[in-house]
Amino acid sequence: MFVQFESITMVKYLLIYRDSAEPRPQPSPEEMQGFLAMWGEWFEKCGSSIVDGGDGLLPTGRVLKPTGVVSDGPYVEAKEMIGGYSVIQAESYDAAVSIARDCPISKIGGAIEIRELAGYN
Amino acid sequence: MTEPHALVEHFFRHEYGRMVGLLTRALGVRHLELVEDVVQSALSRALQSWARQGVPSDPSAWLFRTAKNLATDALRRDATFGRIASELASQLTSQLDELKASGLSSHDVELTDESLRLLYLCCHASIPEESQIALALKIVGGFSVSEIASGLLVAPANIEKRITRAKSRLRDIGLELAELTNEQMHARRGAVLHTLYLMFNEGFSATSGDSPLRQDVCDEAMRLARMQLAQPTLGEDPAAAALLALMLLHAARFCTRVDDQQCIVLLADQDRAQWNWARVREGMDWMLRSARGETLTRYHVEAAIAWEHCRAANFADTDWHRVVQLYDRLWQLAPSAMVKLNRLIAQSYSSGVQRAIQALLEFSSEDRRQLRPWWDCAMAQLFQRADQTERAQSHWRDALALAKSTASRQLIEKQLVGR
Repeated sequence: MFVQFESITMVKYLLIYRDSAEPRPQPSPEEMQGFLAMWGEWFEKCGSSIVDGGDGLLPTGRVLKPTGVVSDGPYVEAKEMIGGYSVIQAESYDAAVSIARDCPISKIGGAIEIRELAGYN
Repeated sequence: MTEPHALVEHFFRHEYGRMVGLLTRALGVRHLELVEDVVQSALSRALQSWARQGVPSDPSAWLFRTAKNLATDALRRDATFGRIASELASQLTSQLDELKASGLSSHDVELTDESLRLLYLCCHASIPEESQIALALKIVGGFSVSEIASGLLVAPANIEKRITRAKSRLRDIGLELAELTNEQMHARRGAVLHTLYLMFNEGFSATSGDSPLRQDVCDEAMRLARMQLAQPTLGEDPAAAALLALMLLHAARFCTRVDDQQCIVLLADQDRAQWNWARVREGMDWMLRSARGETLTRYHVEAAIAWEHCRAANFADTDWHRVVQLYDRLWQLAPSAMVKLNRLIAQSYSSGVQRAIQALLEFSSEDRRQLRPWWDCAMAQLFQRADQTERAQSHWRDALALAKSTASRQLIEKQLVGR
């Protein structure tokens, strides 16, 4: 006979940072440093919930349409542009949302899309 | 990997000025615009990368390397550079090597030749003083236009205009950072000190506690004054030491100048225990160091006046005779209506209110116009002290009509209600 512990399965979520595509005044160096400090605090608070800090995306890009037509610029829809991503792990969507809530992106007016990774591979 | 908040305070802002200095020296003043864009992008990249990876062990070198790469790309894209693009690019690379060789890391950010040269350039005689201040805050101090605007209480569009004009003047002058010799810098030291003095005053006198940025402007003026004093090739200048002393002795009283409701607190009513006594001590040290050489400057005398106020245990204890003497000295060096007014107020405490009222009435209409609303405030206060309430109230009302800032209006209204 064995005791089965109830185990909590952690699921991975992709956080997609969506900035407004509208031009915004450039942040000042002082504001940037403040923003960096907020990231540091967020990462520290999240601890092992952050699986991969991810990366930022440059504002340039190409779009390849199914017709084979290539156009310049990132794919912009609903006036939002993807500015970067991170991967976190959490027990549920609710938990993932509560982690994302403290992300500094929202403090500069960016939206965060939270998507569960399917784990196919 | 270190924690992102391990960066020294104002690291980004100060690095901005240093990198603009370094790149401008290599690329030429006419490309200041490009240089500023490149530096801004380098800082954005640092933000993106460091937020995720942590701050690298030598953040200054990281930034400069990134800025150099961005600048090289920009040079290659810009057809106007043509063949010299690669030459400039290699020049930038050798500068980075030099930077590494001299072991300049983030700890020395404040003490660089480049920022100092940039400051000297901003203070060129053919640029109006108010524009010198805005330009220096922008390109040496790394403040944004909107930060400068709220620090100096001037509309952002106005600041933008001043900076744009100053930059186009710089292009016309055609003086390059690398060409500035030590002799030229020596010759211009007085002008640079004057700009820093005005910068500090702008930040200090725009009284109203609603924006900590004013304090930042004052801090920047102090940082630049220190930078002057730390530059070995220039030697320690007694006038610069006196200026720094003056700034410190004023800055020591920052925290008591406004109350919880952001109302101005007059010197007589300030809680002296709350003053920053470490700053007072440091100011005194610099005052002692400034007591050298042959020239007595207005900074020496103004520092001495500020010291008299710091030295007194309370307002009543102030050595007003000494303060009056110092104002006499100041009048000889830098006569102005404000000096005359301040001297009279000091005198009213040593030799009586009636004499001061009489002297104030003798002010020319031009002096009174310049001193708006302070002439009326002084009159009102003197009448109040002489228990002539009616006349005091009438002057307070005149002062209220002339007051420009919300904070001074609030102060005057309090006097009107209080009596």
